[in-house]
Amino acid sequence: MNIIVLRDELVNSLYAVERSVGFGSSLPMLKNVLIRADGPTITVTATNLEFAVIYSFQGKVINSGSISVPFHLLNSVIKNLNSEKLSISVREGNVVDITTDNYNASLHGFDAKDYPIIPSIHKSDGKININIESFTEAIECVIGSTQYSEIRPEISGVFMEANSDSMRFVATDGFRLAEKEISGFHMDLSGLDGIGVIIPLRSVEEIYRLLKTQKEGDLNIFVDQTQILFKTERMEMISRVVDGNFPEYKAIIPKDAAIEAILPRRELMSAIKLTSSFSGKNNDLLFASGENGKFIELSSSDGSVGQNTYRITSKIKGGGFSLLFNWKYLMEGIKIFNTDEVIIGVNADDKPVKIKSAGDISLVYVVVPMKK
Amino acid sequence: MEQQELWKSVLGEVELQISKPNFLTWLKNSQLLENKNGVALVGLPNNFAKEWVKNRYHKIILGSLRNFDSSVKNIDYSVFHQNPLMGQIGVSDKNDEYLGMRLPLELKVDKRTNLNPKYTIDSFIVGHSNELTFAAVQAVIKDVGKKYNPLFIYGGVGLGKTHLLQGAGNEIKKIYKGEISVLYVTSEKFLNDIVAAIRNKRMEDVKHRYRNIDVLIVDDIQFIGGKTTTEQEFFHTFNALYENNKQIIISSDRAPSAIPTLEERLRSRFEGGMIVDIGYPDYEMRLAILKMKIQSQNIQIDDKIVEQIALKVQKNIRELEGVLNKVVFCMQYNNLPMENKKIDEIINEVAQPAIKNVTIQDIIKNVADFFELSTSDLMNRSRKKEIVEPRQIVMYLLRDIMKLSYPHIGERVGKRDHTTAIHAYEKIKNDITQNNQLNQKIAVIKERLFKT
Repeated sequence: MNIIVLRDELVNSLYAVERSVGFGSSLPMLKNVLIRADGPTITVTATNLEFAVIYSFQGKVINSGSISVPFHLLNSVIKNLNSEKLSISVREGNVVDITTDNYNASLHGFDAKDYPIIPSIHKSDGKININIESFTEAIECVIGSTQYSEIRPEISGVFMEANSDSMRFVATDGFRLAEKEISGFHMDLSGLDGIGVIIPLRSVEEIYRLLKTQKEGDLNIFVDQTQILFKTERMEMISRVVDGNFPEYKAIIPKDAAIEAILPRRELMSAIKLTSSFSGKNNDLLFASGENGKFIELSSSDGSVGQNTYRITSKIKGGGFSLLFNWKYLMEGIKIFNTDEVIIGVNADDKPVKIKSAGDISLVYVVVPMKK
Repeated sequence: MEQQELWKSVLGEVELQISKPNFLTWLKNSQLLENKNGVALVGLPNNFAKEWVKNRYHKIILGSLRNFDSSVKNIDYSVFHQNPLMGQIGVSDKNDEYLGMRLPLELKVDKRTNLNPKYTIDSFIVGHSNELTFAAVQAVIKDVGKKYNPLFIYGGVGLGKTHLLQGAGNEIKKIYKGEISVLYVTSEKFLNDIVAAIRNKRMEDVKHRYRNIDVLIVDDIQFIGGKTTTEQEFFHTFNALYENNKQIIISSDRAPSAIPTLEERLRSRFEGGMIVDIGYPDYEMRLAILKMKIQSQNIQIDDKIVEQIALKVQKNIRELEGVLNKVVFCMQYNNLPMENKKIDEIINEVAQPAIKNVTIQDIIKNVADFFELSTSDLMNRSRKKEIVEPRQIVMYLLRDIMKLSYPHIGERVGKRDHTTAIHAYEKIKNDITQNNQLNQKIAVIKERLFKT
């Protein structure tokens, strides 16, 4: 293999794959990246056997070929080079020469055939085409509502569900749940009514990281029984999906609310942050309606430390309530909206609370109050 | 050679041919899923492993497989999740309470264990009639294979044996998260498997299926009585498991001693373990059961009605449920509140079908058959213990079921005095409360009477 590439392109590619490098694994080869040159396209690949990222760019290919090199070493060299262009060539014995006009390095590479084979999706159950920005926005809305869990892998991720009418992203950790519905996507289903996959949390985080800086462009998503493939113009990421069934979450979302309180979103967020200063170990925050239904009181107290109360005006319909929340869960539910006001729907003191906004029905957050 | 053993041997050979990191990364969690018609199906934990193994190790594995089983001609590869932490049915048994609300469970029977997830230990109502048995089951779950082995549970129809057995299986599955393998079968399935195996010359497979587990649960074992080949095979299976401290749980409609056609060696093995019984539920327990069913199905029903059902329906739990369902249905259909009379009607319809059809002859014959005597034995003057008790039972039943007068009873059972009949009735009535075995025997006889 013998190629000449722009340093910037190489930097971008290493940035794209750096989280996929399999550190600390039993197979040393996973600590490498695979560089392949084919025609005018050069790809850099890394994998940790959970997911793999392949980044492509154009360069000058004098000789096609492939080689794998240790990521750390390559990264260290490329990042610190100050030349605009560099040449990478492989000679006898898998020795890789990196040359610029004032620098040269030889490092020990490894045969490409010892590098893991990246799986692909041969026959997909469905293909979705969606605007990158819509996708990342949706992920942003729900990803804060789930957590890593070894014992409940089926909720340790984001559930992506789509049929010809709508597409939903759902995440939960058993205490709260966020659901975002989006439109503006194209879907091709191979004979199925719809698809539903649970994307593992680490994979979601990674695809989000890779896409969040891109404002434009389309994302193509392919799904089969065991994998999901995200494809953009430059980059591909393939990941396993979680084997299992996502809980029937629709039944959880309260349909109606006996009492509704409309609150100014930004002020509420500040109020939560403020009053949480006095929250005890349980992160508890009392959220109660005031008299006359004209305001809400947030308060917290911690035994000997002290207590505080904040009053916030609100339009309340339907009665009074007094709920105890984990303030972090409540905060997450307010944070993910981008409207001026949020509507908090309450039923009984121990039933799930639904947070939504008047202007945007695509996002719903459900949180269970703590037991008093 | 058995599948798991075979794969272990293959892996052993392959390990020598590839580097250790490669072996650990790609083949450690592999499994031989199937091996039939010359095609082996190898399961890998993820797609990366599948691609790698398929492309790089195919020849080596095929070669090694053929060393042990020359019938293998080709290998297919697929992604197979071991999921020790996640059963096939929502691991989440605690996730009944998800976000504070009840979720519908995925109610598919697990193909590997034959266990139905709807039967759980948590939903099993415990009362006087079954608390000993329940305690024994709990002890077994805690200490699988070491505490009470075999555990023999017997009791009449519709009292919860299957619920308890399957519940135990599900609980063991849940607690030990796949490290302890469980298999639940009815003796009928066992029998069918044996018959099919003999026919298709696959006895080895069946043997291994039933002996390569940690917990074997067999329901309704009484059906293998008299079926010699099945008894034989069960005997060998039993031994194989028992010798290796594998847990065996058995249920039956009666105690081992009361299964007449059961092979002696099997009977003695059952009797060597822990024998417990489940009796008929008392009023409190019936009420509790009804209340739980009502709660789990979110039914609205007047307490008084529930109490009435619990009071009147005294037989088995299945009947209880049946009556409840019918009452609820009528309530919803007619949209009217229920009156006591209507409820009584329903109870009589569902719960007590054909008392009228039982004749004196039926009773005498059934009891005689049960104790393997002839009707003339019961009628004659013999005072032998083995004959006196059945005779007394006949008299008891004639009074209890048919409400005949004592002189009539005495007359019909060998021309005896009415005081004999009185004595017999009182004695058996008393003994039933003291002696569970007797109670069970009579329950079984009664069932047989009403079955025809």
